[in-house]
Amino acid sequence: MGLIDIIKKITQKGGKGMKKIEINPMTRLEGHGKITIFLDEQGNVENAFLQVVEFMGYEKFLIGMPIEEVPRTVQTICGV
Amino acid sequence: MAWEPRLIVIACHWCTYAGADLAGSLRYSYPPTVHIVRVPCSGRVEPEFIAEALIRGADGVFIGGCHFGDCHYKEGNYKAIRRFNLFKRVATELGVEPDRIQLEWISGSEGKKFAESMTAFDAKIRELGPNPLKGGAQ
Amino acid sequence: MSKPKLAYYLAGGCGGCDIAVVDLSETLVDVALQLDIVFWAPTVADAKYKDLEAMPDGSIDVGLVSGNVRNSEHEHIVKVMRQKCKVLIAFGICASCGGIKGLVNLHTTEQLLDKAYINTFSTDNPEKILPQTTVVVDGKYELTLPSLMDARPLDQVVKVDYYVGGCPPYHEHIGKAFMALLSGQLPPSGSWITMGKAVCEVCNRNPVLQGKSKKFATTVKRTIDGPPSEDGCLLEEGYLCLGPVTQGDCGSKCPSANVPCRGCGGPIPGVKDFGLRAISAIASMLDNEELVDQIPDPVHLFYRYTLPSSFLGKKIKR
Repeated sequence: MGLIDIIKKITQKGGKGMKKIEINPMTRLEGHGKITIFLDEQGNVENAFLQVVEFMGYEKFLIGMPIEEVPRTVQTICGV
Repeated sequence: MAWEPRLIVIACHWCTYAGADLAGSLRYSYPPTVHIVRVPCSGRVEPEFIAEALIRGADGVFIGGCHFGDCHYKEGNYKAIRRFNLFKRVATELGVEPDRIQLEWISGSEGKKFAESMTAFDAKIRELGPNPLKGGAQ
Repeated sequence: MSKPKLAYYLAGGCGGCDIAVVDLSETLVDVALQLDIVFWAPTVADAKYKDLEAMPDGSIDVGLVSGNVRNSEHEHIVKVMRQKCKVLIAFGICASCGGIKGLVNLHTTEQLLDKAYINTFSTDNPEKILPQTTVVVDGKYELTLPSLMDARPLDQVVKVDYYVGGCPPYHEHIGKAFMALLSGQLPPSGSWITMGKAVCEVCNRNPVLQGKSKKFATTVKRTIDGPPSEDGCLLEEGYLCLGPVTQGDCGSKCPSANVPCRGCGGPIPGVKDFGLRAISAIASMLDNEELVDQIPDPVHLFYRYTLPSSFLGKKIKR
């Protein structure tokens, strides 16, 4: 399968006749990321976006926790 | 139909349950909303019992045990008050109204105190209204 | 006979469970040779959600999910996993009970977003922009994000066959669990894969195992108050250790390193609410009632790993 075919296979219609490639999830890393690539009429990249899908909220729920407990709690922000 | 509170009273077999018995034989009246569950000792009351009662629709949970020094199993009521106080702290922080749970020492000879406590507890729960926890936190 | 197929999905977790699998080291080679890994995202394999969705239903033999269910994307993929997998395992404490990340249930989504994106000392966000589920950039590029919800353990979303505790699960325990899986020697569906012993039962500090009797704690200490004795029970000395109610598949690693147990192993099988059982165990170990009020921050202590799976599940917001 040639590159053109692969692109044809993975692209879908974005808004206003644009083509959109979604890479979801980004792999071989921890944390969920998503890349969205917009192609123009000719099939060239017009714009690309990286989105971080995860939101945790450690900033809030750590408040009030005894200080010595914080290091062993925040290590779960990323376990890799 | 108007809302009627449902009160769960977990009573220790040796003191509070005997106190409830005495209240009956002395013909003291107390509210019909009270449902008594008999346990061997107030030390048998796990915090899970209280939480599960609240989740399953009780509007208030009252635990009755022996006075200090009177426990049939020597130290069951000491354990009960520590568990209860710690549970109450945690439950309050999690948003449960602290007045919905109560612990009191009522001995087998205090039939009058039992009836009075029940009347007061019923009045307090009526003031608080229906338990918002019914069926889980919203 | 073809190799059993394995899928692994990391939902709202940190990847620590994935790393714990890698910690199997040489054992992993033996295990991996016997398995056909069809999906392991996002950490290890280069697979996309569409690949998983395209697989036939029930085609995967074992599915592991680590991390709790925190947003609509997690919820969707976890449901897809359930359809595709014959056996689904909640792997690690986040998937089993909600985990540390489950503490978000103490606050509303608005409070969390406000703290993270607007109201912190180091944040510069004068326009108060918050993440949106859909946003159109420059009027033509439409981008989407999953919507946030309260943290939930896996079994509140789909049926779970087995649970493995630990934050992360201890690698030797994972090895045993994998071996049990491969040889088909599994407990009844819906149970924890564990040896069923508490941390105390495998702890070198346990006075009962040393032939002594257990004493009450006369003070409440924090780990910043100084190091504990060489081989005495941490609870007796006043360090609030949740060893009595926690699964000891870790081999009591924290107490042997002078650190009190915080209950990542999950509840002993049969316990419905870990936090409440811990309250019961710790309270009955205290010498007098005043000590109860000295325990710092009990909600974060007793529900550190298990808030979403508790009876209340979250803070009641009025």
